[in-house]
Amino acid sequence: MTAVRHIPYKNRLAKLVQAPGGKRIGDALNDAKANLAELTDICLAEIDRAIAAVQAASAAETKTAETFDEVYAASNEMTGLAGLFGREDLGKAAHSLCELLDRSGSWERCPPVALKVHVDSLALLRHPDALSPMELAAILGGLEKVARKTARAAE
Amino acid sequence: MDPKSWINLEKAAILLVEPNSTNMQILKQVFAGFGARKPLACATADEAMEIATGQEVNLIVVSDTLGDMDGYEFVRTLRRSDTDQNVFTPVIVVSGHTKRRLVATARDCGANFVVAKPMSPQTLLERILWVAKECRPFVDTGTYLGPDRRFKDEFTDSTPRRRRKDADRPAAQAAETDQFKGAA
Repeated sequence: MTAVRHIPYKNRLAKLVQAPGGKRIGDALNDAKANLAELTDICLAEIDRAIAAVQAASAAETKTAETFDEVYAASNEMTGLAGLFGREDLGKAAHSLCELLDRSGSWERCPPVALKVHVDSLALLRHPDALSPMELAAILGGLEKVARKTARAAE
Repeated sequence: MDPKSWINLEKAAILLVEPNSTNMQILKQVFAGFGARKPLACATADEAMEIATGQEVNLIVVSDTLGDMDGYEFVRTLRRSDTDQNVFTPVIVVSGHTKRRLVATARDCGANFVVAKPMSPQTLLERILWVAKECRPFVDTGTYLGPDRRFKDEFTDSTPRRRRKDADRPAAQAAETDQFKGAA
């Protein structure tokens, strides 16, 4: 049986964080949010590039393992960016696409209808202001339905 | 988090490891907002190990996807490395979607936290305060080296705690204590 060792250590960060000076937490958060807002245009352009990459690769006649990985990477990037810039639903759709691709593992095993629903949803959710509440609910409901179905099929 | 309490990251040596330039800009802007001065930044695990070998770092924030190895492997390598000064350095791994085959790897890599994107400034600051206060010992089981993965919920609230006044106690607890007093 392997012996378990408990190792005490000194948390250096603790001392630094508590040193006199610095910022109030409320100010630190406000400043971070203001700094982040400066990146909005850059990040939305990045999201547009990722959506275009997903659309192009999923519509291409020749599908390879590389393009499959590229679509996963682009969706994963959107998962991280969208929610930070007021596109929470787009982020959820991108995460759902990552889940679909991860479960499928390859183009051949990826259900085409589920893929199309996700790709179309990404483009629509990029501009949430152009959607009525009913349209938004229909898109999210459709995505959820597809995600549930593919998860059940994979189990 | 109490917005009126203070945090000082001015002198903390913070290492950001992120291969995507946009994501790196986001991290830098957020840390600048927190008051961190010139965090160290690099794009690969190799560069990060080189920095960790050469100097003392107080906090590492690393992406789960790096060019040369994934972020989890980087943490595992760091924890088992000879860089005495940074073996126990708090590490926060930032992940997007985690592939099913990597869930156990993420759990076992030895990071203090794995945080899912999108990571708001609020979430990141909460995690930083948490790792700064944390008193979990490190555990070496042979296959795992990192902070003890068992912890009580009471540690997850990073707000400084004060002793509760009697008036703040939940009614049931107060009644129970009063009953005990009565019995005594």
